[in-house]
Amino acid sequence: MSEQAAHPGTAVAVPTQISPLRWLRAFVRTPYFAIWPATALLFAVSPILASGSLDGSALLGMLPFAAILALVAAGQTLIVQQGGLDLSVPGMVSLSAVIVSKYPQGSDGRLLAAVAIALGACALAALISGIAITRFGITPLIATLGVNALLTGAVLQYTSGSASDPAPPALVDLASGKVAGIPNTVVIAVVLIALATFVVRRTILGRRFVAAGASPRAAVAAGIRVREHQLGTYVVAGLLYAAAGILLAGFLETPGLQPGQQYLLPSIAAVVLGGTALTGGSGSVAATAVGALFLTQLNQVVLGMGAASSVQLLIQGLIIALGMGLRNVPWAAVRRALPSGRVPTSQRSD
Amino acid sequence: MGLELKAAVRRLRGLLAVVAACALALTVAACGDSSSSSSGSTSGGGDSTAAADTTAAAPAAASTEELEATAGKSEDTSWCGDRPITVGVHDGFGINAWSQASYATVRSELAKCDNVRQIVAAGGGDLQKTISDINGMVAQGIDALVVVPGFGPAQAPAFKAATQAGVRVVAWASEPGGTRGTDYLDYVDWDTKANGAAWARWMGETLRGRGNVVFLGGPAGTPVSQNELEGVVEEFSANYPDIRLLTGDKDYPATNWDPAQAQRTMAALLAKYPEIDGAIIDYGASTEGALRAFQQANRRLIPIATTEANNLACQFRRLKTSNPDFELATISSRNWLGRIAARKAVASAEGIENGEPSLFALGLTEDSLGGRDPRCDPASPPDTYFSNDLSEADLEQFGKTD
Repeated sequence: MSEQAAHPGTAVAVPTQISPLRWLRAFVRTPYFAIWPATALLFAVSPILASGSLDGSALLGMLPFAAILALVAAGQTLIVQQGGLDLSVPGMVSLSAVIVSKYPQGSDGRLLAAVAIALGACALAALISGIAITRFGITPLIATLGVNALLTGAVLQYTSGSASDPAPPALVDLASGKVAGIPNTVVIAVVLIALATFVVRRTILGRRFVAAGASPRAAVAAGIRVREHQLGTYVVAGLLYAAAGILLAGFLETPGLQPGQQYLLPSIAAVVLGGTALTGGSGSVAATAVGALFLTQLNQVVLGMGAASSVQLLIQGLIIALGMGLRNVPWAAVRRALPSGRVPTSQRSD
Repeated sequence: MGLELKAAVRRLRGLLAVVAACALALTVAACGDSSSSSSGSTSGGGDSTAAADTTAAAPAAASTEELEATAGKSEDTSWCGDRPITVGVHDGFGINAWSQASYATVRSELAKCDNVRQIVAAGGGDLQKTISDINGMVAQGIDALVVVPGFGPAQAPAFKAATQAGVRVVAWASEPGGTRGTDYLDYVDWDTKANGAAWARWMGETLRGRGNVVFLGGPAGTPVSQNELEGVVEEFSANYPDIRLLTGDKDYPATNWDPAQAQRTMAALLAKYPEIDGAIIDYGASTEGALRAFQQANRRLIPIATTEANNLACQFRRLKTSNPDFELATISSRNWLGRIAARKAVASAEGIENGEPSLFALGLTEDSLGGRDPRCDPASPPDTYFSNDLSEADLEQFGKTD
């Protein structure tokens, strides 16, 4: 798995001064590049496939969902970078959404306390996953699946199975409001994802985090406290899920009992579309966020096409399968096979 | 970790990526399925033809309309008989508000009979547990079973076995699969096609026979929404030919009965159609999501036909002042049919004839234009269904398994 760490994408991220052009040329060859033109292409053809799908109102309806999915998928990316896969996403998102809508009982005065409880509950649940994985060697899939069941149980216990009250007005205003025409949810997601990207790419902590994920044994040999980094990753991911749940509650107003149910598979798909390898190591939270935008817009376009539901699902599945499949084509070998490859031999990436 | 093992793990992860990709395509449908059983079945519903051979009404039995007016309540307890019997009560999901109301109607009705002992269980959304619950009840010697088959035909073999063991199985609120009479005794439910017709009639009158209407259903391909759409299409083409159903006559945009998905679906429709005059949305909670799509898009609200929910009525009250064209008509969430299912099961086990109907063509329970304002009580849970006429005491005492 160590070859992941030596990937060009990681290499350029080392905090040294490089010219923007060189950075761009190197970036184009990372696995995190493809999703950008793919997303641009999707937006370009959107109005052709479904009229009105690029209108202001359509974008305003789509962007908050993309932002919330991006936050969830950002957490998932960090877990994947540590060689895990987090199945507790639905429980985490649902629990935090239910807490911030039920605990305040419609009063803004109790909102801050509710947000703190939601963040704390998800951090605690993530800690349980993390300890089970790092201390007791339980497979991440099993540990997070178990924690998800615990969380779902907690949601039903807390609500007695009855949909919770509507979220307090302050949270609704926050989640559905706009700053300079941009939905607040998008602003919050962009800030948090920029922060995560900065920490992972530009700080020593971040480099150690990547090293711990790429090859735990090598990291231990290098004196990095791998377990602590992994544990910390789960907690940070838990906090991101909680943030997504809080915003979702505000945006949906009445989130119901299981609003997180819709986020598990899309979060994994966004990670893979973004180019982060499920084998762990290096990854890109920003590319994942673009993957989330791609998925949400794709969903919106096939809905807007008005095709039969079966056709919609087929189109969606095909495009995602295509997006993922293209990554596995050995492009270098293809280029070599072509007589007049555009890329000179010396610049081949692998 | 050995090298081979590592390679295997890597392969497995690669596989997972593909599975995730494929599963994503299905997730909408899959999640829809689970939410259909989990929302306890709003899904429920059922095929109108399956219940067409409604039992011939006995002279004393009340009509559909009379039963609807009293939420299935009746002073008469002659159906109780006097032989001591045990009745099983089961719901495939059984933990949300819809299920609580369902337990409460069935169990409070059964509690009227001193000679009836109840065994109650909830499937918790787990098919295997549901089947083993029912087999367990049969082993405990129940004489009758009142059941919401949240898993539909997957539960048919268990019902067949119970029926063969002499248990009177009455399914309600969700189609059981199998054949009436041989695999189960009776199936009590609303007529989904009639729902569609009732909504379309109201919409036709409200829009004065002219305009663009959208229909939003549950998960893709669910028979409940298909039948409702059929009812809508027939009503429009028979009586309101100038109403255009923008979303088509054969298929419908799916909401999975999930408010968030309904919001996205409605947002896409609003972007696609600059002019929508009315919406028929087959589940109240979905409608709440759709309302937010209108607000996000800064579009004025329009007449909407759907099913009842306390919070929806509260939303209506709040939004009506700033949206003069917003009107709301709802059909009952039909938990009260549990009272009739309970009576049928006991009467059959006691050898008493019950001539009450099984299939109910329900009318509107709320109509903001017809003098029946949507009922909002901020003090009650948002998913309270007032048409069931359940007292808080009954809901507290009977709305659970123990």
